[in-house]
Amino acid sequence: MRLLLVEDDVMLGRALKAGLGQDGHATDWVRSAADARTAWIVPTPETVPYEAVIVDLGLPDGSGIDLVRAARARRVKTPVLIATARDRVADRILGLDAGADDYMVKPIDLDELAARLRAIERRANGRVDERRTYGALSIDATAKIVTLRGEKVDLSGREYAVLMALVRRPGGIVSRAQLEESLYGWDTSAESNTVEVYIYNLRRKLGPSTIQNQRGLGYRLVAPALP
Amino acid sequence: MNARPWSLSRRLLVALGAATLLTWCVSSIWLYRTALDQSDLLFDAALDQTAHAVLAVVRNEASELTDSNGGVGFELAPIDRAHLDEIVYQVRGPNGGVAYRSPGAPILPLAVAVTRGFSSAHINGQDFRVFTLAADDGTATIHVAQPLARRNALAHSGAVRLLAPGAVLMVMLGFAVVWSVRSTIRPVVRYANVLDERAADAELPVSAIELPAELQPVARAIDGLLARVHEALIRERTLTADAAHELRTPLAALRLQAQVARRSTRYAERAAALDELLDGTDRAARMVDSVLTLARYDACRSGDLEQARVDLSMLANLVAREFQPLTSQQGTDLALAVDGTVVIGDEDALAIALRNLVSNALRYARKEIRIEVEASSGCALLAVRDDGTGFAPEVAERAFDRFFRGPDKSGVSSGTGLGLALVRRIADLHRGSVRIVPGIHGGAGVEMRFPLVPDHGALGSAVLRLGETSSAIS
Repeated sequence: MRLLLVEDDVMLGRALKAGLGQDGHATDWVRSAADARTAWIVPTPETVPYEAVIVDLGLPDGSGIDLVRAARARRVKTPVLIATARDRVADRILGLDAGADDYMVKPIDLDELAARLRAIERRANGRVDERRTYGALSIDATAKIVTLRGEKVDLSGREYAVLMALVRRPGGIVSRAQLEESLYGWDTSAESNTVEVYIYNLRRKLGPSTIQNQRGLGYRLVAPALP
Repeated sequence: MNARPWSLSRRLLVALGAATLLTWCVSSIWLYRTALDQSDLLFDAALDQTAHAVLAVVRNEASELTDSNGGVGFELAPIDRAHLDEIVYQVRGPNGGVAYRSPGAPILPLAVAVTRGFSSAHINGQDFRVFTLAADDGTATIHVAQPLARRNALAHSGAVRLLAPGAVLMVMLGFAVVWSVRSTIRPVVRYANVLDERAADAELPVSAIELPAELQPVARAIDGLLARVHEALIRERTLTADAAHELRTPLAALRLQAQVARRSTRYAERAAALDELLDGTDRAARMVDSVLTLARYDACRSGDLEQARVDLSMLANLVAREFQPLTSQQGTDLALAVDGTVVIGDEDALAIALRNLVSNALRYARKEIRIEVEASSGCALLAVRDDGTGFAPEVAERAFDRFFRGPDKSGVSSGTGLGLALVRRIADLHRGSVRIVPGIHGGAGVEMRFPLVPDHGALGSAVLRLGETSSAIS
């Protein structure tokens, strides 16, 4: 997923970003409410369409709660997960009522955070579980296991990230830029042909017809035929 | 304490009780004596009156008296109340013989005939008080007498009857004393109860309860004490709460980094996570050190610190030497501009403060830091200046607040946020102050001021550059 992390503590931010990267998420990290506003709420041509925002409440220049409220007031619907040291029930209620979708109390466990992000993504796509099936292709996002006609397919982290980006819009076209976004954060230095490399690998592993190239528009996932 | 503490109410009760009892005794004796004297006079007056009454009767009967041969020729009317007071009398004729005596009167004459006025007699083992009256013509002499025993008994019982109301009053006074002592002491007891039941963090001053004027200074003093205790309590609570939060964050980060390291399958990623873990552990340790140091000095009062003569220039040299490896590594020039100003205080605490200031300066300085010590306008000044970017106005405002961190050179705040708070606390404990002053070339400076030791000797001013003098120092 393409994530925005709003966390003022350097150590915590670095650790979270690293942990999220391990789970295949591309994370932007900002350290103040003002930066978060610029990156997330105020629309600019460069605004990244984040799929979820992780917000710490105690920011040096304002409260994370106000940030969430401001986003909701501007009809920004990005799912928000609050991650904070404030563990009182009243704080949780305040956070959720401000428009957050989930609330986690520090110390944060990376596996729990990953599960909650999967849940957020599930809800955003209107699904009920983590197992997706597209014809003969089956993906278990919890265990990150991809099977084709019942056989496990070994994918690298980056290949998996590209596949997930395609899977999020099954049948729809995903632009090359969007696929690049999903790779953001991997230290790929985004060479122009990087996406093509991973698409090439995926086609090799999943069958050439599974991913179609729509010239000038992007790529599309097509459900592989069942045997 | 092995002696029983003296009690205000017991002391009052004993003193007032003794005074009352003594007054009562003295007044009773006085009253008793006066009553006896007065009844003596009264009894004597009664004898006098009786004598005149008898004489008047005798004159009437004088002819019979002269005709008689010493026998009893006439009857005298009984005297009123005579039987009560046992007054007896004798009438002696011109020849000196007892012509008549009342019933119960002794046969022997009560007094020498010529005596006039009061006398006493001892007849038949009985003491009498006698009044003698003679007729002007010498025809008759009257002796009126009263047994002394009877007289005294009457006087005594009368006097004792007079004392009875005094005794009743005495008992009433006793009750009044006990009551007034108790009610006077009651506010003190109530005050003690209020203090006893008071919660440690109650904010209402105890002098707010109704107290007599004499106790107000005590109440105010206790209020002052309680306010100080309360302040210390709040300070400790705030520090504890803040410290809990500040420690939780690095610990949460440590846990995350540990998890990243464990989940990692690639060597480089794991090594990076472990490096972060080490840095984080150092940071948490620094935080714990700072919190503990601050808590220690928070709990201190000025009197708890050592009160030694501390040569600030020596201290500056010492601290500068400690930082030398760091400064040379960073390429920062640490200069001293010191004179031999001496303050009274705790060397360790002052060194901690100075170390904090230098370590702050080191984080912001471009290439120059200066430690200055001087005596000026009645104060000992200890300042550390750097040539960094200086305090931004909004940072300067909160620089001494606990857990407030300003951004450093890289825009990242890596300190504990307790350094300057600790510096201020140490300045306070030395009855000094601390403030932000201009640094070098628009950089930051922090200046501590302490009361000057009166007899300080300026040992001469010297500007030392550590690089040049390090050989001399070490």
